[in-house]
Amino acid sequence: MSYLREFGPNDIYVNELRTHPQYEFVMWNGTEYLNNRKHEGIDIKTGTVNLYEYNVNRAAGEARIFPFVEKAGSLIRLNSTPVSSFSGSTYGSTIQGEYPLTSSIARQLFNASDGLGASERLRLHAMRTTFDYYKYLSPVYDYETYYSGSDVNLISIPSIMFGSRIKPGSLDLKIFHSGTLVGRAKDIRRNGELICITGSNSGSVVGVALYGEGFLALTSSDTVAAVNDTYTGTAARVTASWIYFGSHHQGTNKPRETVFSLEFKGTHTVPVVTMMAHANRGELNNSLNPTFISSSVSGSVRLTSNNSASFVEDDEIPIKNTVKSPFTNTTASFEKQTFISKVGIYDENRNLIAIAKLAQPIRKREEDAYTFKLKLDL
Amino acid sequence: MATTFKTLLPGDVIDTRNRLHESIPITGTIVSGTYGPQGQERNIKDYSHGLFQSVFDYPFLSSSANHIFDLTMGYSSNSPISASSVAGYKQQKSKINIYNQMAQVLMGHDADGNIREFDADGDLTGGSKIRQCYFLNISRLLGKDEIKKGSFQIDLGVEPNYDKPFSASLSITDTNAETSYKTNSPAGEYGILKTNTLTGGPSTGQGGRAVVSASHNVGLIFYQAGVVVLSSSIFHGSAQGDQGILDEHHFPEMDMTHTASVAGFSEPGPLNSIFKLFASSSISGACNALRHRIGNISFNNTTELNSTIYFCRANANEFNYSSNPTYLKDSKIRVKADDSRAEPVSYITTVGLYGPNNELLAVGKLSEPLKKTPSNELTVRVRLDY
Repeated sequence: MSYLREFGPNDIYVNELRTHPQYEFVMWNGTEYLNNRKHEGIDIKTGTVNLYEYNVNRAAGEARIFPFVEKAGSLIRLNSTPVSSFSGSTYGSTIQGEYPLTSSIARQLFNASDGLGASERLRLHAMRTTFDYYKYLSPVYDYETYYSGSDVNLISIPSIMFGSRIKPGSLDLKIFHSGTLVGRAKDIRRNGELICITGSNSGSVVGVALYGEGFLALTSSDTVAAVNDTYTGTAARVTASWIYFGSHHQGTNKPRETVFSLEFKGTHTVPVVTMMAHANRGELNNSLNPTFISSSVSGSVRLTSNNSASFVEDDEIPIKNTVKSPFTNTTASFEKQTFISKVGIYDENRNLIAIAKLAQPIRKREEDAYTFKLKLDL
Repeated sequence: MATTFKTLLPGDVIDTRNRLHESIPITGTIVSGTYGPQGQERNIKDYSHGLFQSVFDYPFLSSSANHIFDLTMGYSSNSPISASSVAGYKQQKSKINIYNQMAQVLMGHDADGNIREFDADGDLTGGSKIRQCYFLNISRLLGKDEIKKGSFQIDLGVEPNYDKPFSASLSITDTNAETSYKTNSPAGEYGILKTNTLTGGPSTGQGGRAVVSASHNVGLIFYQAGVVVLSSSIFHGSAQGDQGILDEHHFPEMDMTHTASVAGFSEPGPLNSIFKLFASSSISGACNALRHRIGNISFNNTTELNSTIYFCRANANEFNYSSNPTYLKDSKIRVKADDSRAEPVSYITTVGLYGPNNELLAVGKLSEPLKKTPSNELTVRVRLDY
C-alpha cells in the first residue's frame, strides 16, 4: 500500500486569483476618511494606509519603532533617507528612518492661467506620453487638445491601494452639498471616460482615469449644480464643478458645506497552485496510527523479534474493527476503513513541506475513491 | 553598429546580502495596564483552549492592532511541581506538554530519543536545566527574519509587593551574544539571557551578599525562531532551589497574583510563590502575573535583503547608437546635427536584464539619462533585491 503518491502531470496546475478590494474615500473639511475608519490609534492618520501599522497608539515622547541600517559598501539605504544625507554620512554609521510611513490620495489643481510650460505644470506635462498612449480607448485622452492648456484637477491614488490597476467600471465620484447628492460621475463605459450621470450635464465626459497608473484627470468646469461653496479656499464662493472635486483641504476657508466621495476597486493578482491529491479505490486503507490496531492485543504489538540483528513487526496483529453495526448489541462485519484527516505535501527529496488539514476526517472504505483539491497561495 | 545585447560575464555578477534592522521598543504599559484592568484588557486575547494568550499593541478587535507576542508557560516532567502529589494543580498535563513541545522544537532530542530540557548555559553536556519557564513567542511581524543578537532586553519588576512591582526592576539582557551565541539547537542560534542590573532594589543582601547574582543565567533567546525562554528563577530566592537568583532576606515570597493564598495547594518542599503560581494557577493566570511585572521589552529585528548586483559595462565603442525611432530624422542621426564627422551620441535611460532565451526579465531605469559617446566608458550598477 502506498502512502506517498507522485502527482501526475494533470494533478498540479498554477493559475491566478484576481481580487478587487474596494476603497472609499470620504473627504470633508480638510480630512480624508478611508473605508469609514476613524479613531484607530493616535498615530494612525485618518484616511491613509500605513506600512506595517507600527506605532499605532504611542503618545508623544514614548519610544517608537524605527528602522535603521548601517551604511556599507552595498549602498543599501532607506528610501526615506535623502540621497544627499546618505552620501554625506560616513561608512559604518547608523542611518535611521521613522515610522509610520503612510500613503493617501492627493489632489493637485493645474490652472489654465499657469500657461504652457509653467513650472507648476511640469508634473502634468511629464504625463503627456501616458495620456496619448490611451487615445486608442477614447479621443478624450488627447493631451494636446484637452490637458495641455486647460484646467486639470489631478487626483493621484497610490498603487499600494489599487495594486496592479484600478478595476475599470468601479470608479464612482460623488459630490454632496449640505447632505444632498448634487453631482456624480462614473466610468460607465469602462474605457476610462468619467461620465457625469446627474444633473443637466448628464452624459458628458468630465475627465478621464488612468487605470494602470492611478490618476484621475478632471477637466470639466461646467456647473455641477446650482450650489456654491468656498472651493478655492478663499472667502469667495464659487459654483460647484468637477475641477473642484477633492478641494476639501483647500486654503484657509475650506468648503465645509461640501463632502466629496471617491469609490474604486483595485486589482490584486494572487498566483495560486492547485494540487489534486487522489485516494483511489483500494488505496490508503491502512494506517500506521497506533490506535488502528486492536487494543485487545496484549504484550508487544509491534515486534516479534527485537535483537541487535533484526527488527521484525508482527504481521498478524488484528486491526480494530471500526465499522459500526446498524443493529444494537451486534458487531458489524470487518471491513478495512480509515479516516483521512490530513494530506501532506512532500518535495522530491521526501521532505514534508506542507500539510493540508480537513475540517473533519473523511471515512475511506476500500470501495471509496476521493480526490482532495488543495490550493496554495504563492 | 549599435550594440543592444551584451553577455554578462561571471565577474560582472555579484551576490550580496545586507541587513536592515528595526528598533522595537515595547513599553510595559502596552503589555499590561493601558487597555483596561488586568483580566479585562482589550489587547490581550485569551483562547478557549487556554494554552497561551496573545498580546496585541491595541485592542485586538481593531484592524489597527498588531500582534506583538504570544505568552505561555510550562514546566518539565522533572520539575518538583510536576509530581501528581502536588495538590491543587491546574492544567498540569498541558503545562508539561507545552514545555515538551517547546523543548523538542528548540532543544531537540538526545541520543536516546529523549527530549532535551532547556539548558541554562547552553552546554548540553551538563550544568543546570531550566525546568519551569515562561515562553514569549515574538510575532513574525516584529521579529522578522531574526532578532539581532545582543540587542534584547527585558525589564522585570521583582519587588515582592504586587502593587508596586517596579520598585525593584531587574534588567535581563543577552549581552555579548553577538560573539557568544550557541548553535547546538535545531531551531537555529540562541543566546543566554543574563541578569544585568537591578534598579531601585537594595544594594546588598543579607550578610553583604549580592542581592542578585551578577550575570546569572535566567533564560534563553532563540534568534531565528523569535522565542524567549524565561526561567522562573527570576522570581524566587537562591535558597529555595532550582537556581533562584534573589536574596531571600530582601526578596521574600513574591506576591505574583495578589491573592493571599492559593486554595488547595500544599507545599512539598521548598516551594515559594512562583512555584505555587506555576502549579496551581491556570496558564493564562500565570501569564497575567508575568505581564504585570514586565517593565519594558526592547530588541532590534533583522531583515535580510538578498541582492544580486550586475555590473553592466558600456565600453568606449559600445552603446553609442540607438534603435529608438526618434534617433533618426530624415535618415540622419539627429544628435549629430548634420555634421557627418561628429561622433555618435546616445543617451542611456534604461538597462534591461534578459534571460538565457532573450526574454526581458527586469528593467532598471536611471534617474536621469547618461550621455554615451565613443570617448567615454560607463559602468551601470544594477541591483536586484529579492
